[in-house]
Amino acid sequence: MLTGEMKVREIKYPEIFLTGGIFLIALGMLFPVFSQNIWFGVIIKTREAIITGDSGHLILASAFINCLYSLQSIILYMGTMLVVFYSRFNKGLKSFDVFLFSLIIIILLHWTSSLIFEIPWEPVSTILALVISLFLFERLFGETYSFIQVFIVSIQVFFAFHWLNIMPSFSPYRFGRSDILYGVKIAGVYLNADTVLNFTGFAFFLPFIISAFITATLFISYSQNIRMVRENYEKETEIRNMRTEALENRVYQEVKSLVHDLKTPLVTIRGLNSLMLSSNGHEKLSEYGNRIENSVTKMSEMISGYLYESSRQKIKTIELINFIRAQLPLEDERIKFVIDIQDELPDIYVNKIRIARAVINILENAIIVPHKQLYKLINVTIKTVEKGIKIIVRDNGIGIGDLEMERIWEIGYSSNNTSGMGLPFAKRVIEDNMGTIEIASQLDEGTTVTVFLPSVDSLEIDDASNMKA
Amino acid sequence: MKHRVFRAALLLVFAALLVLINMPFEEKSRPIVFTLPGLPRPIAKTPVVITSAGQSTDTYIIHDITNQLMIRSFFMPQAEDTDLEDVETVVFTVGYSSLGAKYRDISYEEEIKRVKRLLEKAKEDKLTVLVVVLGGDHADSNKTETLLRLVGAQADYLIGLRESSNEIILTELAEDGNIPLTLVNSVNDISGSFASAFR
Repeated sequence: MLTGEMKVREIKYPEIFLTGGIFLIALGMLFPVFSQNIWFGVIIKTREAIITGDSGHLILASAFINCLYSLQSIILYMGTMLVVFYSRFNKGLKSFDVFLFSLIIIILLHWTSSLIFEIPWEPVSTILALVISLFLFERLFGETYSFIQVFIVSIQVFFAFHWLNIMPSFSPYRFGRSDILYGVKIAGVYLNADTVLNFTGFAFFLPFIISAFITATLFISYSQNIRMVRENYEKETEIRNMRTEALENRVYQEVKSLVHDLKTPLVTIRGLNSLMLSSNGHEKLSEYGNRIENSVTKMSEMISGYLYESSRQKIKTIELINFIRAQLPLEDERIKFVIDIQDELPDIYVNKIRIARAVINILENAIIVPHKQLYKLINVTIKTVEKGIKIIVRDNGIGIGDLEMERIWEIGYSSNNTSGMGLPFAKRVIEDNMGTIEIASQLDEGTTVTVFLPSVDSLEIDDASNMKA
Repeated sequence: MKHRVFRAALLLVFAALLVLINMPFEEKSRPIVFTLPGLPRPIAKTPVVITSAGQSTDTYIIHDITNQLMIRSFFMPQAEDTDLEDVETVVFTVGYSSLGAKYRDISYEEEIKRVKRLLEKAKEDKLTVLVVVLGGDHADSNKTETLLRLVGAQADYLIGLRESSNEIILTELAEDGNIPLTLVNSVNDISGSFASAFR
């Protein structure tokens, strides 16, 4: 897009650029006035070349002319492009119309300047350079939205094409038609230096034009790379947001599970209460009262466990195991659970509700993982180890590959189309409770998750602090 | 529809500009003209004043040729009629350069007047007038043509470049005024023809 409206909208003070453009146009128009003495220097150089027979002076004169023409063209071009883009003119115009309009304006400015100040200009090379520059402008500005980069390329294009003016072999194609260039070329022929001028002109034209296209390509490629980096960053941000959202969903799921778990003691309370109402015996009433008390305590523990994440209690390991077993759905006949609990397990100091939820997550993973055997076998071993206990969950699922293993702790990553929150949550909770979690897996053989929880003794927690907690 | 009209207008303006500023696309027909390679006998005497009609840098080339031929000459690009005292020949190098005129601080009209004064003086003193035109096809061709027609009408010998835009004008001038004309292929060939006017 030649219009580049998007970029123009982003600029806060387009009037500054507009003023700059007008200033450049004025400077370009008045350029012959400022450069008059240099023009006269060209005449002197030509005279010296003829008198001394040294074609080097002609090359120098040609370089002067080329620089003067190029500078004026570049200034007018820059000024016009700034005015065209920062004025409201180009709104609603198609790119080709803007191209044509800019071309006409710059040609008119050149022509007017040459008529007013009687300094000749080179229409053919100027128009050709303009067409190429405007073409590159369209490609480059559409990609980079940078005037500086566009102007760097254009400068090279103008320098390249104005060098063609000094080549006598290009005279039939109306290059170098101004009287001063014609004089230089005639002097070149007179000094038998026409080949030198031809070679010099081409030797400058070629590198400049190649450089212009290479620079343009580099700028475009750089801009594309930047755009890709920006897009990647945006994608990463989006993924991060999605993960955060997933995490929030997980929290919601956890709360939902809690509410579900709370239903169990509530059902008990309601049932017992109805029995109490229908019962006449005091013994039964006392028994039901105790059971109601237990349910209320259980529900209170659950709520406390969630409300106070850091709170921990000294509990018997078997109590934790029973709590987990009570919450785990084991109705599926295709899943065979083998639970091996060692006798005399030490007491542990944990947030029972949260640790239970973490272990349930691990067990749920073992339940849902696909398997190749006829039935799913899950071995759960609870044993005493040095300074604590280990809960080992072993399944006969398809296992986890090395590449997946590196990412299992990432929030949102899942190989089973789940939320990908289970393991990160379990790890966090276990580590919050001074424990560790390890995973070992072999493809097609299964996965083993080992959870270590420290014993109360190893933590050296006295009863007083326990009570306080 | 509006866009199309606007684009058509832009294209028209662009085409008009190309015609106006630059390209007289029509090619002047150039019949093959046979001319003498040089004069059969000299017509000019020394000393010579070399001047410019249009202030182009071509004058320096004629000056250099004169020096190489060791012809006694005075190089005066802006010679006035008073400078023609005690000289036998005046050589005009025709070619208008707007930049050259600015460098010499003289306008085109003033240049025309100066050339006219020189021609009158040359006529009065019966000086030999040699006219050399090296340029052609450049941007100020019309002004050069005016100067060439002005000077060429009173010339005793015309030298120009073959296959330049001035070839036809030189031929016309030579035919109309019965003036000897030499058309050379290249600037390097002028030296021989120029020398034939003196030796």
